[in-house]
Amino acid sequence: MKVPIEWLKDFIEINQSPQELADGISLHSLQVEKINDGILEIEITPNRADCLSILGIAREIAAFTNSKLKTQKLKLQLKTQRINKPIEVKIEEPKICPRYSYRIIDGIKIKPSPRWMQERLIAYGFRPINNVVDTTNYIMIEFGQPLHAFDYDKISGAKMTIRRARTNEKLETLDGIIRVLNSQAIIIQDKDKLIDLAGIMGGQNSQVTENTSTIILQAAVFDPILIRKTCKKLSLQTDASYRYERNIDFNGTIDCLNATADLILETSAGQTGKIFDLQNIKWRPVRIIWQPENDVKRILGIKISHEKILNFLKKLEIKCISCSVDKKTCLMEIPSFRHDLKIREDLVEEIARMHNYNNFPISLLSQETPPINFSWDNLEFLMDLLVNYGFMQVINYPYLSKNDLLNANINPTKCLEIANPISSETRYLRPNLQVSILKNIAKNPFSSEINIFESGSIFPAGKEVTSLILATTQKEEIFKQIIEKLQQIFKVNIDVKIEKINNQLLNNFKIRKRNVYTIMIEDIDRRLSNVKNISQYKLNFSPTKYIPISKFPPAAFDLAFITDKNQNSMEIEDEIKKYDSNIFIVELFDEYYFVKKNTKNIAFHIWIQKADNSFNEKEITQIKDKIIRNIISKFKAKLRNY
Amino acid sequence: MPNFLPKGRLHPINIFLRKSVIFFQKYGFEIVEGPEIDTEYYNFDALNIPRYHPARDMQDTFWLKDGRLLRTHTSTMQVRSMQNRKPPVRIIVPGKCFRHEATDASHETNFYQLEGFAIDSNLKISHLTSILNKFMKELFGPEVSTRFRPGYFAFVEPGIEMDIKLENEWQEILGAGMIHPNVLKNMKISPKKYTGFAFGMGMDRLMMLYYGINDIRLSYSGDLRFLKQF
Repeated sequence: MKVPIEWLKDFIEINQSPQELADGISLHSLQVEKINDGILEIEITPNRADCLSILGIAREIAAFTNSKLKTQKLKLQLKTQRINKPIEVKIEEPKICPRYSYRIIDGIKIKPSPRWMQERLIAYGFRPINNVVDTTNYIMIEFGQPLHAFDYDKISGAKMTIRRARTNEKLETLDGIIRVLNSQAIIIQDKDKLIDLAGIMGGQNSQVTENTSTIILQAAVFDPILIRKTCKKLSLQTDASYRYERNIDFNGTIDCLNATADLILETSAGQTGKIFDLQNIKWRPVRIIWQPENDVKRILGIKISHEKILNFLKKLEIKCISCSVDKKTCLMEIPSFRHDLKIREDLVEEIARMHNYNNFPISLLSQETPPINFSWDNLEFLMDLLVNYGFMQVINYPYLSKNDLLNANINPTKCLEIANPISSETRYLRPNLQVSILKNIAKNPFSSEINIFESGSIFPAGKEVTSLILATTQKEEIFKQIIEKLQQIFKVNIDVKIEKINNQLLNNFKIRKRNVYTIMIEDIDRRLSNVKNISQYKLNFSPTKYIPISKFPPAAFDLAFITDKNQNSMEIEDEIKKYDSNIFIVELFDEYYFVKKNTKNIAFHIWIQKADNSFNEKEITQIKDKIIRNIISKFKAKLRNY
Repeated sequence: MPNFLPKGRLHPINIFLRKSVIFFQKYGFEIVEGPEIDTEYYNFDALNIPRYHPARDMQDTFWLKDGRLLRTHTSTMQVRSMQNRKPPVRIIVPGKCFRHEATDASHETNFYQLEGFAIDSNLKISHLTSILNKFMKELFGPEVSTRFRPGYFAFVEPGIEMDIKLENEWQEILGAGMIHPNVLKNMKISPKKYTGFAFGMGMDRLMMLYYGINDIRLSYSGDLRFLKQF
């Protein structure tokens, strides 16, 4: 929610800089995501409906800065007139509308709202419309109570009935859309038509226009769950419904009707009638029994005195109703605007955030040896093995499109389907790992050779199993070696087929390479879970800085050098990267020793890219020459020609 | 071990998972894994997130046609794994999760989460903040600044969020808190006798901050120009 700091100042003295204020709010209440030109953007979590208002935020600031909240705006007592315009309001079912407060304002003139109000509305994100509509929006932002104004003269029969809609009843809302309703929706009806989608959006036929002179001003409480169900069904969310579904202050209607009438009459002629207040459900405050010092100590691990705890809570308007003589147990009363406080742990949280989570002592858990998860350890160890055979790990999405499946000759109806896919690309869950791995190969046309593997979940026939796939564009020999090695290490019989991908499949996936082999092992984690005493996998954690990849195709070339046999190859690899900012990958792909000469041959694949273009031959040669010159002189190496 | 060239590489997310798992194992956390397809009960109801609660909006969900869902967090394993365990426990749950979101450079429909939780007779929130601080310093160096703020997740109470400061900006990195008494009850554990803490962090985001990666989608692109850099 956007909260202008100057608006907050109506309720509270603010002496801090915007940044200090934002930090305070973030550390004690809600996260301030941005500060923009004196406006705080605060993320209001679903539990804190009370903070969907300027007053709510100001109340929080008052609590953690220990300052006083100015509440004169809430204590208006307006002079009311007798207005001879009757309206009969009936609520069919108490649960759907626990409270309905309203008043009539007569003889008003519709015109633009005052400049200052427009500016605040714009800062929050509303478009100014007229003095009546703007004022209802303004008061909603300020106090969190949604309000609505009906044009009195458009209501026939001087009658309003609040009830559930009937199936397929229709109502045209303010935005000109005809809404088809069901019994989850709450509507208001006059003698002969629906006039309001209660708590969500007004009806077109009862709205305030420039000819309106009498309004019915409504401040009501509606059932949060029904509002939410209807919003979900209609895919409609308004500032009013957002507040209703998060639960508003049951006791806020009267003050807000006063504040609204006051503001409307400040800018327009007219007179206000008295407030009518229908309460079908009696509101009872929530009370919590707890042990302040004990509960705080038990959950937070710090000692805070009884008095200090109660004082923190008092600032949040949480009152202590009674206390046992030894002060151990207290009964607390929760203010009507705080729907998130229900149990003692909720009170502990209030203390924690007022105290500040960064002021807790350090208490580190003891070091211990956990039970071993063999299937995890073994699978990780297996991955290390594959990496040593030159395989790269890929991780793919679990979803496939219909096209992907058809390309792979898989019948989509045999796959698990997502009911609400984001696009056709996320519609099916993969029945094997092969489809995604073929897409990977297609995506890397620049690589002359590709060795990749993936371990992940697949969903064949409605089940979920962990599977492993390896793919190579080199000789299938490597698979035979790997399978042999796996059987030797894990001492399990792994009966897998080496599959050569046929040309039709390669063409379907637009793969130019002709020799593509895969092996797939299903249920890999379960197969490995009974294998104990395998060596530990390794951790290679180093602060590499990622170099963004270019939109333009890279160029790749190989260079081979002859160096002293003791020369560290990695050192040369790192060195090559330094010579030109366009070099982004250097990989050692060959290394062998000439025993008699005390030298070795090392060869590198070198990948270069430019952010804004591709390379021409001359540029490639220049970079090559630079590398060769430098490596020869720095490492006393010789270039080896193929 | 054979030594083929060029060497392959692990996916950077896997490197991060390993690093994290090894850290928490030192403090006695057992690795537990669970299904990616789960039920509404374990993903939401058991975690104190009722059906028509706005808290559900925090985790937009992929639903399967058969009524099951793709888990939105690995917190599904909180109640699941306690069906055959008794406190004290320390558990971590690495795994893939899914959110029904439009994708861009910082949003993905799938990501890796590391969930962790502990239940014991004497656990305080300071145990939680201390171990998370230690972990972030292990990842980003001892000098990295951290802070905790109030946060809201229906399955913890109190709830907190943690930020780390990188290049002078606070970065939101994880949510945590003390396990909500309703969740403990769903585990058949008495909230009077035991307390617990839980945390969940996105591995993708941590990995991206660590290596300076600007687009979350690269991870799942299968692009070797990306994968060969780690």
